[in-house]
Amino acid sequence: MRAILNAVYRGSGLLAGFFLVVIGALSLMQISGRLLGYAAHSFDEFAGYAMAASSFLGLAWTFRCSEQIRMTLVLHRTQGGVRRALEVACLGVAALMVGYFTWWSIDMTWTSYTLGDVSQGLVPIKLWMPQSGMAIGLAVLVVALLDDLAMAATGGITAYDAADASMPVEAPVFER
Amino acid sequence: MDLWIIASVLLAVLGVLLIAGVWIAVTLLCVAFVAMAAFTNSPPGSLMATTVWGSSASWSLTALPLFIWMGEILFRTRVSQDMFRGLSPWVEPLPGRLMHTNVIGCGIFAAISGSSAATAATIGRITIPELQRRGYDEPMAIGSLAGAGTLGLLIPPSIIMIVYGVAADVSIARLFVAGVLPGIMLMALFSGYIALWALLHPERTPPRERVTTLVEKISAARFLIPTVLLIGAVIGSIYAGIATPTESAVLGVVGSLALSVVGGSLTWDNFGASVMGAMKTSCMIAFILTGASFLTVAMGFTGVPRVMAAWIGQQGFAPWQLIVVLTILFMILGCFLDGISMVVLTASVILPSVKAAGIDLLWFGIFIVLVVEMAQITPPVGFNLFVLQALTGKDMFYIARAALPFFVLMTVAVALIWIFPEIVYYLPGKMFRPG
Repeated sequence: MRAILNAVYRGSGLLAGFFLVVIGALSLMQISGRLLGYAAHSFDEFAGYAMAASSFLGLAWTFRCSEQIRMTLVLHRTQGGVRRALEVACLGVAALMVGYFTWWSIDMTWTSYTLGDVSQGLVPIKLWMPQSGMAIGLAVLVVALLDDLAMAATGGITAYDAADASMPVEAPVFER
Repeated sequence: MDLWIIASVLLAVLGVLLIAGVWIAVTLLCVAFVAMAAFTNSPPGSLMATTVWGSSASWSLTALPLFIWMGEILFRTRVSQDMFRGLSPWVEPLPGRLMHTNVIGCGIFAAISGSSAATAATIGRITIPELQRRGYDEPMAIGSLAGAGTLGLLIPPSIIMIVYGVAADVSIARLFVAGVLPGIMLMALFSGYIALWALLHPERTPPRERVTTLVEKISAARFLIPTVLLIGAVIGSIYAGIATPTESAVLGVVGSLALSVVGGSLTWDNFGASVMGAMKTSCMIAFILTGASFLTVAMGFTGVPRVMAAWIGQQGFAPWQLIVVLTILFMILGCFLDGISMVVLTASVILPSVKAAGIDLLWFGIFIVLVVEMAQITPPVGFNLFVLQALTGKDMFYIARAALPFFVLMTVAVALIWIFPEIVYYLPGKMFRPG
C-alpha cells in the first residue's frame, strides 16, 4: 500500500516536471517558428495547458516535500497533544476544501467531455483532455492529505515534517 | 447585509486559518468559499472550478516556471561560487572595499534568481565567512547582506512581479522594465551608504590587500561575465520588444543550459534536479495564485472591494496618504505573511481602492515590491532574517538591528519613487511595444 501511494505521488510529480520541460519546448518552438517562418499555431495555448498540468500534477509531491507554504509560527510553538490536534485540524480542513474543489473539477471535466467542448484556438482541442490534468492532480493531493491526516491522527510523523527534518537548515529556499 | 460585517467575518476566517497553520493556498480557497456560500446566492463549486481553470491554463503564467528553472540551472553552475572572487578585485579600490561584494553580488544574483531568500543565502554563504575572516565590521557585513539580499524581488526577472502582473492584470514585461532603474537606485543607495560609513569609520575597514591590473580583474571575473551577458540579453530582449517575458525566459533557460555545458556542470542528475526544483517552487506559487484567483472572483461577488473603493474615493484621501497607510499596513502584514501571499491578497481586495485613488497600477507594482522587500527584513517574520540567522548563528534581533540602516534606505527609496515617479516610468516609456 505504502509503495503504491509513494509511486503515485512520485509519478504525478515526475509528470509535472515533464510538463514543465514541455512548456519550455513549446515556447522555444514558437520562437523558432517566428524566426524561421513556419506557423506554430496555438502553441501559446498548448503551453498554457502544459502550465496547468504541471501546476496541478505536482501538488501532491510538492506538499509532501513540505514546499507548500503555511504559517508555522504558532504551530511550532505547541507540543504533544495540542500540536497533534492542530495538525489534524489543519489537514482535515485542507482535505475537505481540496476534496470539494476536486469534486467540482471532475464535474467540470466531465461536463466538457459530455458536451464535447473544444478550445477556441486555431487548432481545436477537446477541453476535457487538458482539464483532466487539473482534476487528477487535485485528486492525488486529496489522497496525500488523507494519507498524512491518518498519519498525524495515529501519532506518526507526516511526510512534510519528515521532509523538513531531513533538510539542511541553511538550504536556499525559494520565495516564501 | 452590512458589508462591514461580511468583511470582518472573512477577515476572522482568514486570520484563524492562517494562524492555525492551514496551508496558505488552501486558506485562500476557504475564505473565498465562505464568502460565496454565506454571503451570495451563487453556487461556489462550479464557479471555483471554472475560475481556477481559466486562470491556471494561462500563457502569461508560463514565464513563472521558466524563470524559476533558469535560476535553478544557473544556481548549479560555478556562478555562485565565483561571485566573491570575481567581484572582489573590482570593488577593492572603493571605500568599504569587499563589503560591496554583498551589494553587487546580490544585485547580479537577483537578476538570476528572482527570489530574495535564495539570493541572500547563496551570496551570504560565501561573503559572510570571507568578510569575517578578513576582519570586516560584522554588523555592517550582515546588515548589507540583509538589505541587498532583498534586491532579488525588485531586479527582473522577478517572481513576485510575475505574480503581481498576473493577479493585477498588469503587463509583466512593463513591470520588469520598470523595476530596473529602482533596482539600480537601491544598489547605489546601499553602496553609497557603505562607502560613506567606511569613510567615517576608517579604522573599521581592513586595508587593501593588493593592487590588481585590469587583465587580472577580467580574468578573476571570467566565469561571471557570460552570466551577466546572458542576464543582459534576457532583460534586453523584453525591453527591445523582441520577446515576451515567456520567450525571454526560454532564452534564459537555453542560455543557462549552454553555460552549464561549457562550465561542465551539466549532468543528467543536475538537469533532473533543476527541473524538479523549479517544478516544486512553481507549483507552490501556482497553487497560491489558484486560491487568489478564486478569492478575487468571490470578493467581487460580495461587493466588498467595490464598496471599500467607493468609500475611499468619497473620503477624498490624497494618494500619498493612502500610500503611507498601505505601507504601514504591509509592514504589519509582513510580520505574519510572506510576500507572495501579501501581493495576491492585495490584488483581490485592495486594488479597486488603489485605482479609485488615482494611483497607477504599474507604479503600485514597483511600490508593493519595495515594501515587500522591506517586510522581508522586519522581525519577527522576515524571511531574509531567517536565512541570515541560519547562516550566521546570530539571533534575529541582532540581525534586524544590523539591517536597520538598510531598512531606512529602502524607506528613502519608496519616498524617492513617490516624489520622482519618472524613476519607474522612464524605461517602460522608452520600451518598444512587442508585436
